Amino acid sequence: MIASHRLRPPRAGPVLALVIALGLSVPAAGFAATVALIKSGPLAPYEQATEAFRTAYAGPVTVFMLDESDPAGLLRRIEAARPTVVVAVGLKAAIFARDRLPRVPLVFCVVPNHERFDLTGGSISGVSADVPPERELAALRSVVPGVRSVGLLFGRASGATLARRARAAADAAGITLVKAPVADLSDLLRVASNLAGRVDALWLPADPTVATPEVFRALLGLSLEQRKPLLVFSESLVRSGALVAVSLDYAWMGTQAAGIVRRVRSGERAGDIGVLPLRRTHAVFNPATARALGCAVSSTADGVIEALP
Amino acid sequence: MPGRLTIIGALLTGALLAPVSRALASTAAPADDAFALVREQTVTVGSKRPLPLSETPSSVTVITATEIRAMGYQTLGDALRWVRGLFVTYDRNYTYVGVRGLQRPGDYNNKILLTLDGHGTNGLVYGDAAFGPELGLDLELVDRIEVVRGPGSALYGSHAALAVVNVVTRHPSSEPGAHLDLRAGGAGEWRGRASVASSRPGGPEWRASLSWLQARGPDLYFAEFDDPSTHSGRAVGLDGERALAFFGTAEWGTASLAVKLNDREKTIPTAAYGTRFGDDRNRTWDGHDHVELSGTRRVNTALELSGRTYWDGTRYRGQSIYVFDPDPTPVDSRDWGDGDVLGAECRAHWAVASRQALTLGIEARRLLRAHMKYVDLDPPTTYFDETVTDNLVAPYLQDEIRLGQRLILTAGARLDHGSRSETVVSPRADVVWTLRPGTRLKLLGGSAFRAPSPYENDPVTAGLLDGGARLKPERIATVEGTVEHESGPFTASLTAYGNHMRDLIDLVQVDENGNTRYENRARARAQGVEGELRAAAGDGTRARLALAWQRSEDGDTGAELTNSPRWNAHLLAHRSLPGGRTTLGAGARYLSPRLTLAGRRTAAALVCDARLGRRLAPWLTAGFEVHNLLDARYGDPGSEEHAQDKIAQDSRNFFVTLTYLSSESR
Repeated sequence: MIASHRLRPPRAGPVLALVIALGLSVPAAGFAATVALIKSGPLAPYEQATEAFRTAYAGPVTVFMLDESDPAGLLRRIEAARPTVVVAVGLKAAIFARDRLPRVPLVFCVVPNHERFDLTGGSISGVSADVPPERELAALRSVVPGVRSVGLLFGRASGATLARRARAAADAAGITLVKAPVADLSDLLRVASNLAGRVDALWLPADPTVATPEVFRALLGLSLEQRKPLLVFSESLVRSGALVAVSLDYAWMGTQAAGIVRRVRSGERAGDIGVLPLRRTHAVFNPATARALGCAVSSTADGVIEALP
Repeated sequence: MPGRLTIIGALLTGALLAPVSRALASTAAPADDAFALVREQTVTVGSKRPLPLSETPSSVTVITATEIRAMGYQTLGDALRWVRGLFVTYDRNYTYVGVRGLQRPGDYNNKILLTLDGHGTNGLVYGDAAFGPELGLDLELVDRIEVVRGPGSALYGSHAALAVVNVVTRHPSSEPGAHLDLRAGGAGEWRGRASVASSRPGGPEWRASLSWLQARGPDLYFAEFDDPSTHSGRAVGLDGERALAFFGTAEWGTASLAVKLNDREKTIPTAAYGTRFGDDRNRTWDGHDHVELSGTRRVNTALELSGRTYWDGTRYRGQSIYVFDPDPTPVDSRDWGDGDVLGAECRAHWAVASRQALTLGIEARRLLRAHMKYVDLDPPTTYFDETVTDNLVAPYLQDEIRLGQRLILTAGARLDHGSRSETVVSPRADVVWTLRPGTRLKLLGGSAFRAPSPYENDPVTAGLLDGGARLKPERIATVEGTVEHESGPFTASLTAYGNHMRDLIDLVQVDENGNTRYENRARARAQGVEGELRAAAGDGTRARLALAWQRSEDGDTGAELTNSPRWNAHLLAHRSLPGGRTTLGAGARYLSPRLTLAGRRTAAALVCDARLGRRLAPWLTAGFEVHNLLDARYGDPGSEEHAQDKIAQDSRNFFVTLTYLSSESR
């Protein structure tokens, strides 16, 4: 092939026709407005929040399940619905909506630690899923009134912010917080054993580094063996033998998200609404574990913390 | 090809293949609601948040991964041809990008800052931004390309004079698993890629990719050499190219590591710089390497700190064969341009109040060496062998204030203090005003600069003939206004701008023997208008129609600048057909005639590309594409080093691509 500077009159017709045909083939039916709700996965908390949202929000809602194997396909389906607002239930869904649908106002719920994932400002609003540590320590004290020191296990990188907030809450409550950062799970049992000998209670927070079934089982064994109350982050873990937890009300979150969506639809800027604080939580304790540990539940705890059957 | 490629290949092939089985075998643990909610946090750490386009004061174009795949872009140059107001010139060795009518011969793209995930990649000796295969970046790894027109020195410093091109790579969690690509096309082009990514909850997330290119290149004809003594102007088998590149990222917690290595060898068919025409030893080798370690920490709800430290290495080697009358013995000349730099940057984002945010930071870098050498092998003659060092400290500050619901004001400045160049302050201010829902007015004004490169600024290398003079930084002042309107699936924008440049550095011919030198040109000015209409349909169809007009001229004489197209337009569309198995992309672009150094004009170029992609099986996709469908014959203006006034561009060419996806990727 020899290239040269000889110029031919271009024949643009066929390709221009093709490009124009592509543009004209856009189906007009795809532009109906609605609210798109994206769920991170098929977890019960997400289902509860979704049902509550649908009940509280009277308008049309199209529900999508996050499909990580085909994000482009999911994006196409969502865009086909032409949503005016996207509701994300769960962190992955929120990240997906934030990155893939930056022009559509986003309302999230059931997203723990949202600030760590930059889910603030701009066109983003939502409901916080972060339980104030003050509330968790209050729940612990209502079951173990004499608690003076608590040992907190957390990931050295992932739980630093959480640990700072816990320290502030403990200081305010007059409790000594002993922080036990964990860099590697292989090191956790040694750290936890040392910690248990120095504190009145153990605290396993919702930190991704340490909140695993294996760590929970290890800490539960340590708790029962050394008679140290264990504060956790989920009601299901209390049913499994931990002493006390402050759990989330997922339905309430869904209802609050519906309220935000209505405000956005009425003209408010999502970023100006901000992230609503978590107002409704549910403190529970395990009476059998309390008896085994010799805890004297405070008489003032009635109505504040629920004993699980 | 130097042995460096072989070494990189041997090391990286082993590194890539060893973890494939582990990556494919990873499975998620059974879900328990209490832990599953928490576990979600481990797979999205480090996700980057794009600033909403509506709040970006600059004129920004984003090329998405969907478009890259639908159109089959292989290099950044391929993609940037389809960006409003940009045009691409190829001299059959390097790819040059012009912005709003400015692409000066011999500037090596040094007025554009090219960043890869925020890491600057401009060369350390020549200041060059690599937009062709010499960059060594496989576009399959790219999540999006952000093109920010206008002055960016207020945050980024030197080079960000006309535009900042930021390439954002895919996060490992977006496509975990293994990918294998093989591409074949006309002119003996072969490309291959192997990539593996892993994203397991609780563990490090990483990606590694190795890509390879080998091309024979087309046979060419140059009328300037149409003489029996120079093969009648035919350059047969002289446009070949080979390249090997590695790119890897790893994230653990809030820390990230990025490694990029590449080597590219190109045979030069144009006999640039007066070398002997038809000699296949006329070649260049290029490498742009870096290693960067970075991290981000949110101190509290109002303050986020980020930092990075890095090493950059750029490599250039050239081999040139000359014949000087009357001695017919060829002279083998070699030149080197290598640089290494260590740097660090700390940045803080501080939400001072609910409607005010500060970005402040400081960058420090030490140019360990910029080594420039030029020798003849026989007889041994050293023309220069220079090594220079440099230190740079650059603090910067930007303040964003939101006034009411509709107004965002941003102002900032950066001070660049280098040990070998003038201290420069680059201010910038802009306003985004929402006139009514869906309609925005953006106003921008600022100053940017481009520091002379070590090669331009060294008295020996730059003043090869007469000692030369130290160069001053190029300065560019810009004012720009944009109106944007969104309506349903359509977004329309209209931009008007003016650029005023002074101390522009150009490669100029200084004698009748063709010798050249860099000089600060007095002034130049450019003004233009750009319009764009974008459509984003619900079925995934994306279309873009853009038209740009500009006029650039010498500030003293009013003469039109060379290689500066008055009109630049394109129409591009891509969509996935119902069922999702077939994708179709097509586009047409137009470039008006450009003035050449000889005072002639290139012909107008209307070039059409199209691509059809088809998923043949869940694990296999195929692509068929044609470039320059209408077989338009056109040339790009040559630079001072070329005997050619116009350099022929590729004729119609076909390509086939096969892509294998592992089960995790599907």
